[in-house]
Amino acid sequence: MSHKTSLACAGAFAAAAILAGISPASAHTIIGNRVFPATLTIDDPGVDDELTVPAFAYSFGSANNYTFPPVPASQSYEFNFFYGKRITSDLELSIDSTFLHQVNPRANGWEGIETEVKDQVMVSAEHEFVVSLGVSQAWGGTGNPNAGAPQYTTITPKIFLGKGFGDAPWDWLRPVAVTGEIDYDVPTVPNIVTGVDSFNNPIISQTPTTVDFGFTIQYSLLYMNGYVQQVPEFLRNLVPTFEAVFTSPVSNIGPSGINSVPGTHETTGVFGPGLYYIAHDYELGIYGAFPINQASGKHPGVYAIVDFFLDDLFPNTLGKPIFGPQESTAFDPWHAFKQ
Amino acid sequence: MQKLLKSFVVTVLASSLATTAAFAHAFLDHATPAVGATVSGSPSELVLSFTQGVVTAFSSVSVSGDGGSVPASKPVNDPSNQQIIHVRLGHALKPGSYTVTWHVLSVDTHRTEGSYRFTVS
Repeated sequence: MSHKTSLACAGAFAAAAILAGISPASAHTIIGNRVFPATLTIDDPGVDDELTVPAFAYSFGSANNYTFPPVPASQSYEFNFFYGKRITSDLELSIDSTFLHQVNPRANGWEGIETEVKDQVMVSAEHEFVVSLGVSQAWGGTGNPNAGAPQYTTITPKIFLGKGFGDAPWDWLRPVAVTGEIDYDVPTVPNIVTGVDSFNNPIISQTPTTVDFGFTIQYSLLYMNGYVQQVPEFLRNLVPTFEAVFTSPVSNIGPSGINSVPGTHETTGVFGPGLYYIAHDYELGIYGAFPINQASGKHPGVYAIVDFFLDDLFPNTLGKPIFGPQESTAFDPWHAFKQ
Repeated sequence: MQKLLKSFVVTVLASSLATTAAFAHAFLDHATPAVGATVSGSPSELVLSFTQGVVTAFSSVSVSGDGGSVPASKPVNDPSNQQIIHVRLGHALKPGSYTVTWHVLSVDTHRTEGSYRFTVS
């Protein structure tokens, strides 16, 4: 890959890098009376048997006019496929991968395979509360380098939190829920060769360690209908949200320069509204992503999801834990404090 | 791609208008008297409609108001729909606020519970 091509690709993949931090792969979770939908910006806080085919993301990257020749703004379309399987009622293994179709420069291919283990460590059904810990591994060399798939592995410890306010004393607050996720992405190699310069010398780029963090605020009409105030039928299955997600480089960032890839030296992210429709055994969702700065993108993007609930489609086979009971046996802090 | 996106949005909207949800977990879809509603005069029974079939042998519904617990029958399935249960009240309700508390077992063995209020004016 030439230097020019390398820069062009690096700039164009910046928006995709943001999405890589976001990881639209997701699953829904039911804790007590609360259904946490599979959200598009961050993963849901719990575990389940789930098949996403696919989550879709459209983003419009930034142009980089400081390079010669200037790097045009990229447009990328990503299709994420996800399968999650409960081993026990609190432990899930999942695998996912994303297909990228990008314009400016044109690129097509799989971005690599990611696997994750996730465990619910605290659950209170009564208080609609869940905390989960996870570790994911993005396997290097499993995707197409032309689609920006790294040839090195990244390991990511994660923490997830979800809280529904169904136990609140005020009816207006009871349909509200919040979820959050913090990831710490650790590449297993400090440097990579991203191209060669005009003297045929290799161009070395550092692979920064990053923190991804995001949250959702959800107002569940589904919950409101069943527990607070009946709502018209056509609104009953909707969960409007506000969501935001950010990526910050924290170490091994490398020197900043005019040719720096957008997003490698500053926090990037998106925020915006979402809307989810939760049906019998599937979910549809759409999200409008507004970039927080130029490094995050030039125009708003759109994400969408079609998600099938295997625990509802196949409750006695694919949709139940391999071992142990269906219900969570995780530590309940409220129950412990009462005793 | 824009066509794909448009068709997805249309699908979302069409589904939200046309489909009734029913989870493997039995959540309350609607009730009579309605959740949070104010009704004039005492109902003779409660009708709770869930998003999935309910096993009444392992389900219960209780009603309480300012004067304490209200006697009520055991829930029975609607003969035409296992997702609907009926609970007859032991006596007429005086004007006031009442809380309905339900515990149900869905036909695929998930347990759910909840409560809601309604008011008799």
